[in-house]
Amino acid sequence: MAASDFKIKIAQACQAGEEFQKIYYDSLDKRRNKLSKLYSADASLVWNGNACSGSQQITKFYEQLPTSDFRVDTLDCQPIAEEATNGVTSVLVTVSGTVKFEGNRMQGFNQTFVLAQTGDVWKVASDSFRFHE
Amino acid sequence: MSSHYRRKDSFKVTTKGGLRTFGDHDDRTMSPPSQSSWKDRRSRRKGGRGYRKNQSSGDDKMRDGPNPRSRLEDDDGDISMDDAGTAGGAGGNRFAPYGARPKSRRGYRPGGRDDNTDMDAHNKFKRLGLPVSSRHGGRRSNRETYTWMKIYIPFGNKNSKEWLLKSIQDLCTVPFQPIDFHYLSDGTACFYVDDKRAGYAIGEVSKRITNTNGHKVVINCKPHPPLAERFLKNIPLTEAQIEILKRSMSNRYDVLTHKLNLSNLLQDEDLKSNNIQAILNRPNIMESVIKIIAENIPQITSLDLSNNKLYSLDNLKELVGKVPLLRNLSLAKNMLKNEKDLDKISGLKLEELTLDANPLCVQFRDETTYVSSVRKRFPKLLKLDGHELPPPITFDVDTGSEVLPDQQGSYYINDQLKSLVCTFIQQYFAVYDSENRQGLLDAYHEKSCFSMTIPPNNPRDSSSQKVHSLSYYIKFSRNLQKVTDIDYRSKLLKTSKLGVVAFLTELPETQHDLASFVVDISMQTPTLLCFTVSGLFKETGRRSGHPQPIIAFSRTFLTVPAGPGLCIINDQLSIRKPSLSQLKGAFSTPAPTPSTSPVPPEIQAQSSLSQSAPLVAAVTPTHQEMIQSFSQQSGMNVEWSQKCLCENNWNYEQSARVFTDLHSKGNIPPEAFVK
Repeated sequence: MAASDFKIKIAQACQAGEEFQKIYYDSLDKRRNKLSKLYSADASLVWNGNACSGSQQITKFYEQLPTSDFRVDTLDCQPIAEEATNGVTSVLVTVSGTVKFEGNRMQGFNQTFVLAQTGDVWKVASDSFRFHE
Repeated sequence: MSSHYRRKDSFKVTTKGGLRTFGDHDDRTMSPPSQSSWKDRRSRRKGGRGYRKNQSSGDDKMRDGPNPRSRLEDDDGDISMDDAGTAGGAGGNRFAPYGARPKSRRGYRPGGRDDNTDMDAHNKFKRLGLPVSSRHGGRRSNRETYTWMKIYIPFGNKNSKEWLLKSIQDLCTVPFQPIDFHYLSDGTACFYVDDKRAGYAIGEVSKRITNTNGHKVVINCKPHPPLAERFLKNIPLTEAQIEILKRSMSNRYDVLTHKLNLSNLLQDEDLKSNNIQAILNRPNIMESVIKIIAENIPQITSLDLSNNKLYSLDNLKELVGKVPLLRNLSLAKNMLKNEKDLDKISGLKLEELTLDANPLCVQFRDETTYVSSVRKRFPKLLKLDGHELPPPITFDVDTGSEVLPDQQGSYYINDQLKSLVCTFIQQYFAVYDSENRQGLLDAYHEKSCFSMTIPPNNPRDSSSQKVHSLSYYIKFSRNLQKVTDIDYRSKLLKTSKLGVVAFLTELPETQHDLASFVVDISMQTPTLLCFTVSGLFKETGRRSGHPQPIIAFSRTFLTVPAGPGLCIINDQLSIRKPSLSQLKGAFSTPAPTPSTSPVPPEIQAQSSLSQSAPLVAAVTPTHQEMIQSFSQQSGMNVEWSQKCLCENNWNYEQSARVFTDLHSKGNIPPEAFVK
C-alpha cells in the first residue's frame, strides 16, 4: 500500500473514532435506548469482567446501569489491517476518562472498541470496559 | 442554608463585634479604573450606590454576588461559628479589602445596599481570619502589593469542580494549586491562588473553554491579599497527616458491623498526640475524612459524627454518592441550626438518623413538623432520634438501580483461549522486561501499529509526586483530544514491525507485575483476537532513579493467528498514575527477575503446561533470529545481515539505521543482496 493511502486510512480511523466517541458517550449518558443501533448484531461486550453479546443484550445491560456521566480524557484510534478483518474496514478505538454513576463515586475507566464499517455505517463489533482500580 | 437564617446569624455577629465604620466604604470611587474592570463596569450599571436602600435585603440572589464579602456573608457565613468569639474583640480596625461591594453584578439592577449587612460582613471578616490585613487598618491598600489572586467563574456550578479545574489547568500556562474552591449561591465558582502570575494566566483562559452546554466559560480574576493563617489551615493535609488520620479512623471502625465512630474526633488521643486538630468543621479535615472513607471503607453502613461541633453540613455533602450502603447517621450533639442544611446530605439513603441536641431540633412547632421536615429529606427514614417512625409510603416503581454489577476478574471466553493468551502474555512481557526488546520483532505483524496515550495533567494531584514519571511520556502521547494535526497523528502512530519494535526499544526499561494483571478477551473471530491487559509496571532503567516509579497501564492487543501462537497487528498502550490502593498491593511478591516473576494462578498454570501450549513463534531473542529477521527486512543475505548486526553490537535498531543510511547512499555492494 502506498504511504499516502495509509495516511488516508489513519486519518479516516481518527475521524471515525472521534465521531463515534461523541455519539457513544452522549447516548450512554442520555439516550441508552438508542445504544442498540450503535452495536452490530453480533457485537460482544466485556464490562468489568461481565460478558454479554448481541446488540439487544448489550443495550439491556447498559440500560440496567445507574445514570452515568462520562468524561473522556484520552482518545486514540488505529486502523486495523484488513488481513485481520476479512477485508472489512475496521478501527481500534481506545478511550480513557472518568465516569460518575449515580450513587457511586467517580471512577477512572478505560474502554476499547473495535469499530467495523458495515455498509454506510460504522458499528461496534467489540466493547471492553474496565474501571481503573 | 437560607439567607434568612444566615442573616439572623449575621445580626448576632454584629452585636458581638460591635458596629464600626470602615474606611473602605467610599474608597471604591477612588480606585483607579484599570485595576478591576468588571468592578467598574458594574459601578456604571449600578448608577451609584446608596440608592434604594434595603431593596435587596430580601433578595437572596442579589445578595450573593461574586465578591468575597458576599461569599462570607451569605455562603460561608457558617464558618464563623468555628471558634466563634476568639477573634470577636480583636482587630476592630481591620477592613475587608473587597468587601462593601453591593450585591451581585449578575443582578444588573440598580440596587441599594444594606448598610447593616456590610457591617456584618466586616465583623465576620475579622472573626474569620479571612482576607483582612491589619497593616492597612481602615484604609484600602494598594492592590498591586497583593500577592494572591481570587478567581471567579460565573455559572461555575454548571460543570463539576473536577472538570472545571482540569479544563483550566489544561489550558493555563502556569501550574496552580486552587485554594478553598467553593461556590457562591448564584452558582459562581470561586477559588484563590497564592501566585499572582498563575492568577493572571488563569484569567487568560477566560472564554477559551467551552462547557458541555456549549457556553464559553468566563473567568474573572482579581488581586487578593493572602488569606490569613487560620484560613490557610484549609490547605489539604499532608500525606503523613492523612496516614495518621487513617490510622485513627481505622481504630474507630468496626469491621464486622461496618460502623465508623467518629464521635468527638477532636479529643482523639492519637490525633492529639500527633498535633492534628481534627475539627470536622474545617474543610481540609472533613475532605480528608471523606476521602479516606471513600477509598478504604465505602461499604460502611453506619457513621457516627456526634459531638463534633458541626455547624454546617457543607463539607459533609461530599459524602453523598460515595457510601451507597450508609443507612445510619448520627449528627447528635452538634451545632446544626438550620433544617435546610439537611438538604445537602439528602442524597444519602438513610434509614436511621439522630439529630438530638442540635439547635435545629427546637425550632419546630411540634414533633410532627419536625418528623415530616426530616422525612422530606430522607423518605426512607425508619428511625429518627431513636424513635420508630410510621413506615414510609412507597410505590412499586422501577426507580433505576444505583448498584453497579460486581467487578469480575479476568475474562477469557474459554479455556483454550485462556491458555493461548496467558502464554502469549507471559512470554511477551518476559521479553519486554528483558534488557533487549529486539526479541519482540517476531511477535509483531508486518502491518502492525502501535501508539500510546497518557492522560492530561491533573491539577488535583499536586499532592502526589512533584514531577511525575509520566511527564517523560508526554511527547509520545497520541491523545487525539490534544493532538489534532493530521501529520503529527500519523507520526505518533508507529507502524510496521520494525517501526514498532524500534520505538518500544526506546521506552524506559520496565518490570511488569504479572500478579497485578487482569485480562479481558473481548473479541474472537477466526482471523482476529482482541484482548486488553491491565496492571502495573515499574521503570527499572537508569533514567528512573529511586524510588522506581510505578505506573498503571491498560494495553490492548489485536492479534492474528501465527502458526500455533499469536502475532500482534495492533497494540495500544494507555498509561496513568496508579491509585493509592493499587500502589499498596503493587509488587507485593518479590520478583528478582522477570523470568521468575510471580504470576497469577491462571498464568502460572499455563507455564507448567508450556509444552502443550502454543508458543509464540519466536519471542526468545537470539542472534540467529535477529539475523533472519534483519535479512528479511533489509533484503540482504544472511552473511551481510550478520556483519551489519555484529558491527552494531547487535542493536537491531541501530543496525537498521546504518543499513538504511548506507543503502540510500548506494554504499552497499550488490553481492550483499545475493541470497
